[in-house]
Amino acid sequence: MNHKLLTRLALDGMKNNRKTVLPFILVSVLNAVIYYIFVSLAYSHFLVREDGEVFYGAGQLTLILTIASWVVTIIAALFVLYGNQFVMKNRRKEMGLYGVLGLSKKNLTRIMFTEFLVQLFSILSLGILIGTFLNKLMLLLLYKVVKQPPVEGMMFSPEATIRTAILFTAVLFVCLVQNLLSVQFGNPIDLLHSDHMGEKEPKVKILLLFVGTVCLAAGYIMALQSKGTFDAISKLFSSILFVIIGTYALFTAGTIFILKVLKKRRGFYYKTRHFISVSNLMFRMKHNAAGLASICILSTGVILLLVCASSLMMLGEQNINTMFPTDVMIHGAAEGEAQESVYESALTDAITTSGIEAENVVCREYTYSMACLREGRLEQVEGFNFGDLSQLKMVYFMTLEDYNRYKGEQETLKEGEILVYYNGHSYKAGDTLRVFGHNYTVKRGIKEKGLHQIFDPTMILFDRFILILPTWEDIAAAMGEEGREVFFGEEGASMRLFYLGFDYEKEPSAQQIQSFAGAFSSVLPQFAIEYKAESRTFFYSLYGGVFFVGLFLAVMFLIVTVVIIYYKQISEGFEDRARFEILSNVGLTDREAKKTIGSQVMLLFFLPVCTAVVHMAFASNILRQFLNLLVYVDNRTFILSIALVCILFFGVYAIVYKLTSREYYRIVYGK
Amino acid sequence: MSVLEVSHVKKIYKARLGAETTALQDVHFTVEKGEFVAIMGESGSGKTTLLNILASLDVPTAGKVLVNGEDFSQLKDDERAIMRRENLGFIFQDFNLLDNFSIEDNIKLPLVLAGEKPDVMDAKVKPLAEKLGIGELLTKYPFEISGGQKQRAAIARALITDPQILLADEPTGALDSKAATNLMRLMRQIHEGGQTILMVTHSNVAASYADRVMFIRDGEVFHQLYRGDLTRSQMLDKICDTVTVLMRGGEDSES
Repeated sequence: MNHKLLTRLALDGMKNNRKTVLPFILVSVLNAVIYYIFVSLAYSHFLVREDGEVFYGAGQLTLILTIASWVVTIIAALFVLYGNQFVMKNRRKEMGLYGVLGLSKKNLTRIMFTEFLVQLFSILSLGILIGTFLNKLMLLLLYKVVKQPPVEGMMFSPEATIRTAILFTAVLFVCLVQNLLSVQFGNPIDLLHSDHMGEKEPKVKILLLFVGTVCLAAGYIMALQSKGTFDAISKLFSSILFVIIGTYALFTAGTIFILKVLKKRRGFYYKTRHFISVSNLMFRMKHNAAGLASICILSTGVILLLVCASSLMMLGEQNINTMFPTDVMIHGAAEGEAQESVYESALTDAITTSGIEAENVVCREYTYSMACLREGRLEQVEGFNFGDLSQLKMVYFMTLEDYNRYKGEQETLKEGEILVYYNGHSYKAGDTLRVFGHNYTVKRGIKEKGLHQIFDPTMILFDRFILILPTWEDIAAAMGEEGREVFFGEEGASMRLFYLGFDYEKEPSAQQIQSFAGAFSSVLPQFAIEYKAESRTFFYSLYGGVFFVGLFLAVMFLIVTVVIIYYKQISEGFEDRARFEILSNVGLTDREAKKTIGSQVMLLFFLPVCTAVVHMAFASNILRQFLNLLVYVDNRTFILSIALVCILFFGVYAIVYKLTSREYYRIVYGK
Repeated sequence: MSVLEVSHVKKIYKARLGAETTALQDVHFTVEKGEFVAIMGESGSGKTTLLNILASLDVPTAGKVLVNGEDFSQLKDDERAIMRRENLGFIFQDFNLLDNFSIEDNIKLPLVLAGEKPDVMDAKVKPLAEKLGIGELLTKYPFEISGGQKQRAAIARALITDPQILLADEPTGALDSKAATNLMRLMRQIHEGGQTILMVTHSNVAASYADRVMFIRDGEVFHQLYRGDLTRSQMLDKICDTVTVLMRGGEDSES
C-alpha cells in the first residue's frame, strides 16, 4: 500500500483525536521540560565544577535536583503510559475500522509507528527547545530562591538533552509496543465493538469496608497522637500507609455502601435528581474508585509538598536565628580553673584586634546533660530504643549567680530549691522535680529569654530543660555520676562549657573576619567558631532547593492530576451521552439534566480534593513534628501555610473543574 | 376529537453548504382515540423523521402536530420534555433501557421524573409488570434478560404514565421471529385495552397487527390500508401486495 496514504491516515487520525492526543502531547512536553531543567541544573557548572562547589551548599542542591529528576522520571513514565492507554482506548474503533476496510496488520503497524515518530519528535523538540530557553531563567530563579547573586552566560545542556531524549524515547517505545500488541491480537470486529456491555450493580464489599474504616481510623489516630519529632518519625510512614490503604478501601467500598444506603431510603432515592445520580454514581464508582483514590492521594501529595516547601522557606530565617542566636557563635569547654572573665576578654580582645564593629557581645557559662523524662522524673539514660527517643531531654545547668547576671535579676535560692525552664510545659512554684535521684522544689518557672544562647544547635530536636542551681557544687551534686558521664566521660574532665558570641553592628570585611578568627584561636584554640552568614548560605541552598524542586513537582503533579481528570471526564462523557439521550426521550428536561449532570460531576470532581484536605487536617500535627527535623515549625505558621496551600489548590482545581465540565457538557449535551 | 392531528408537516434538513434534503414533503393524517396505526416505509422514506416530530424530539419546518388539540412545536424545550413525558409513551427498536437501573427502576423512571410518591409507584408498577409477564424480572438488570423481555420492560415503562399515545419505533426490529410474534400479540392486547398506538415499522408481519397501515414514500403518505373485518393473515396478504406494488412503482425512481 501507498506509504504516503498511510502517513496521511496516521496524521489525520491524530488530528481527529486532537481532544485526547493534544493534552497527551502537551503534558508530556511539560514533563520533558521539567525533567530537562532538573537534569541540566543538576549538571550545571554554575552549581558544581570539577574543582568543587560554586557556593557552600551547592552540592546538596545538586543532590536534591538529581533526586527530583528521578521523581519526574517516574511520574512522566506513569503519565505517558496512562495517557497512551486512554488515547488508544478512543482509537481502538478507528483501528478496527481500518482493519475491516482491509488494511493489513503490517499497515496498521506502520501507521502506529508513524504516530510514534510524530509524538516523539514533537515531545522532544518542544521539550528540549522550551527547556533550553527556560533553563537560564530557572537557574536565575533558583539562585534567587537560594539567595545567590545572578550569573551571566547562556546554557545549553548536552547532558540534559541526551537524557531527556533517552527517557522519552524509551517510554514512548513501550507505549508503541503496547499499542501494537493490542492491535496484533485483537480482531477487527472486536476492536469495532469495544464498548462494554451492561453489568450488575456493585456489591458492598463488607470486609474491605471494615478494613478501610479501621485503617483510616488507625492512620488518623496515630497522626493525632504523635508526640514530638521522634514519635513522628516512627509513626509517620505507618500512618501514611494506613491512610493510603484506608483511602483506597473506602473509595472502593465506602462510597458504594453510602450509595446503597441512600438507595434504600425510598423517599430520597425516588426524586428525579437523586434517582439518576445515585445509580450513575454507583456504577461510576465501581470503575473509578481506584482512579479517584489515586487522584486523592496525588492531591494530598501536592498539598503536602507545597506545605512543607513553603514552611521551610517561610521559617528558614527564623530557624537560622534559633540555631544562631548571634552572628558569630563560638563554643567550647573550659580548661582548668580559669574564670569566665578570661574567656570574655579573649573574645573582646580578638574583636578589638580585628576592628570588627560588634554589638550584643555575650558570654554564657553552663553545662549540660541528657536525661529521660519519665513520670515527671529526669532519670539516667540507659538502654533506650528508638521509640523512647521522644522521652530524651537536653538538660542545661547554670549557676544562680550567672543567671542573675545574664538576666539582671536578684533571685535567691534556698537549699533544695531550683528555677526551671522547660519548653514542653511550664513549671509552677511548689512543683517537685527529681533530677538524677535528687528531689528539688521548684521555686518558680522561668523564661528562656536571655538564656537561649546556650543551646547546642545540633540538639535542637530534643526538648530542653534549663535548671538553675545556686553553685557549681550544687550542679555537680545534682548531675551526679549518671548525669555527668553522658557528655563528659572520664572523671576530672571539665564540665564547664562556654558560649561566646556577638552580632555585627556593621557587616565586616572578609579580612576582618580572618583576623578575628586568628586572634581568637591563638588564645583559645579548642573553641569552634561558626558564622551565621556562612550557614545561612548552606541552609538556603538546602531549603531553597527543596522549595524550588517542591514547587516544580507540585505544579507537575497538579497538571498530571488535571489531565487525568480531563481524560476521565471525556471518557465518562461519551458513556453518559447515550444515557442522557434515553432520559431525554423519556421526558427529562434539559434543565433537570443539567442539574443532575452538574451535581454528579461536581461530586466526583471534588470528592478526592475534599478528602485530601481532610487528610491534610489530620496530618498537620504529625507532619509539623516531622518537619521539625529540618526546621523548627510553630503551629500557627504551619496551619496558616496549610490553609493557604489548600485554598490555592482548591482555586486551581475549581478552574480546572469549570473548564473540563464545560467540555463534558458539550459531549453529553451538545446537540 | 382526534388524539393526534398531523397537518401538512414538512421537514427540510439543511446541510452546511446550503444543500437541502427534504425528509418530509407533506404529511397529513389524523389518529383517532383507541386506534392502532402502523406506518410503513423503506429506510430513507422519512418515517423516523416523522416519528421524531410526532415525539416532539424534532420540530417540523412547516405544518403542525396537535396532540389532544395542543401544539407541541410552539413550546420551549423544557416544556416540550414535560409534555412528552405526560402524554407520550415510547418504545424503541433497541429498547433504550438504562443499563445501570434494575428493570423496576427503569419502569419507574417516568414516574420519578413526574415526582410521584414511592408508594404510588409501587402500586402502579406491580400490576402492570404482571400483566406484561415480567413480574418476576423486576429486580434484574437489562443485560440479564432476553430481548423480548427487555422490550416488554420498555413497554411497561411507556405505559406506566397512561399516555395518550404509545409511539413504537420498529419494536420488533431487534427480536427473533418468535419473540416478535409474542410482542405483537401483546401490543394487540394492549390496544384492545383501549390504548392508542402508533407504530413505525418496515416489517409486514408486525404491521399486520394494526387496524390501519399507512405507507410513506419520499416524504408523503402514499397509501393507506384499513383492516375492517379482515383476519390478520388476510391483512398480511394485503400489506404484502401493497408493498410489492410500492416497490414496482419505485423501480424507476429508486434504482
